[in-house]
Amino acid sequence: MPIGASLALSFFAWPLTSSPTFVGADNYVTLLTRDRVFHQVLFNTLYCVFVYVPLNLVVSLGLAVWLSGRVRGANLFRVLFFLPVVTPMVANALVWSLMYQPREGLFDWLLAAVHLPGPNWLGSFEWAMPSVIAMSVWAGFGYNLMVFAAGLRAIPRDLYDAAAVDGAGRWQQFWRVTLPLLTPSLFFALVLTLISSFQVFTQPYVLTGGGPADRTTTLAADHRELTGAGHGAARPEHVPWAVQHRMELPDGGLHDLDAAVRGAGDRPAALPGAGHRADRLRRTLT
Amino acid sequence: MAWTGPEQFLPFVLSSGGSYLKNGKLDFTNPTVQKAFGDYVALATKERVAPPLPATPNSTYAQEQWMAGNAAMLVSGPWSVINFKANAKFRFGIVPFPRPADKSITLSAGSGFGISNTCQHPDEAWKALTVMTGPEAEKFLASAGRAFAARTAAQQYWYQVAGPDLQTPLQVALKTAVPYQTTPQWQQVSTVVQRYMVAAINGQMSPSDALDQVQSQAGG
Repeated sequence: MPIGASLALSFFAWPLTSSPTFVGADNYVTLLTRDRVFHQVLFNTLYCVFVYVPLNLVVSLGLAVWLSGRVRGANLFRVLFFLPVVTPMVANALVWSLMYQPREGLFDWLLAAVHLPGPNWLGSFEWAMPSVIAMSVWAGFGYNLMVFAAGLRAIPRDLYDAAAVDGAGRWQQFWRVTLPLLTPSLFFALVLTLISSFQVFTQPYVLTGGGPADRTTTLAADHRELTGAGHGAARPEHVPWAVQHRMELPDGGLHDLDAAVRGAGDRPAALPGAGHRADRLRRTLT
Repeated sequence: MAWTGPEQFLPFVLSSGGSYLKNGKLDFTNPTVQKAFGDYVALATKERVAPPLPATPNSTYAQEQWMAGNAAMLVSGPWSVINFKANAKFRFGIVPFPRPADKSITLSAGSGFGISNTCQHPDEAWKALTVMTGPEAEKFLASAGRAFAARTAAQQYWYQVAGPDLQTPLQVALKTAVPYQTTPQWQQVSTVVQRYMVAAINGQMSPSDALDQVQSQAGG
């Protein structure tokens, strides 16, 4: 119902304080041909997706592999890395906004200690989006780390022993044994991270408000503003509509994905309840 | 310059003889607006009176910087005085808005009330509004030091709480103050100004480009 209603609304101009007027495809025409901000927003979102997703996967996989070895206090590290995932994103973002403050923030303070000037983390075109992404990776990699940790535990030790007997070093073991057998987990993490990255909202909303000059406004944030601030109303929420609803797999879909992942490898990827966790991940990341 | 809402620079526009509205619609591409905004931005980009700003949705960022001692001046209004008095760890005073030209014109604004045209009880709503904005209610609020009363008879109660020393500068400012006229999309104007003014003040976008963006996004 909501999906159908939002599609229908996309053909109306509806300022919140007056009645809707049917405008046909005008909203779409405006959005795709005249709305320069939307093009910037689309770029921002893709920028975020293409940097955040690989970064998240590399960091979480790297730390998961590290923690799967003989690391003293590994469980403590797992808890510490997972803490940001269960902390409300607004709280995470508020703390990071303090750390990004010019002159008095933690990052500038650390750089000043080694006599280096800090950039305008949240105020410059070049650094605003990377700052938002860095915070998002910190807040989100813990979940994928748990996924990978479960996948790594399911890999039998004797495969590594056999590889070692064949003369494979640690690096070769990682590429030839760990990574192939972790593919189901990787696929699952990739899909969920991809979905959540298209829905990033809280981080730019709290850290930068979408600025400077819309350089950190994402589709989800733009969507909110257009519908919530009475901005000519149902105007250009519609490509975000299309993108979002295409990306939002319903719970059943995620369970199907989970089943596919389970069937994709030789052994279970240990990922039950994917839909529930996906929702939790969505809430955390957006 | 620690916060970047339109109220920060619109008094410069008015004091320069310009107007930011034309026939009730936003007119940020008007040369007088562009000139006044350019002069305002130049305070940071050329005169260096303010450091680069972060982009932030925090509308109290300016107050926080001022209260922390990081900014020497703050554009605000009498509604903030009670909080400043309670929390500032230094003495402060208020002055009329600095004038770039012959006279200082600032904005006069406050709470706005309205009755929706779909309201099913307009008479009762009107009665409620007359009570809420009546002399007794204004006296009550002014005596609490919270709201500077629109009714002149109630203003004395505010001065008694906020401080008699504030009376002269406020009276001077009120002589030339004009109503803060807005457009139906003003919330959007404020949001977009906040985003783009940071870019202008940080020197990453020209003042005229920033205003053009506000006009195109929130011009209605």
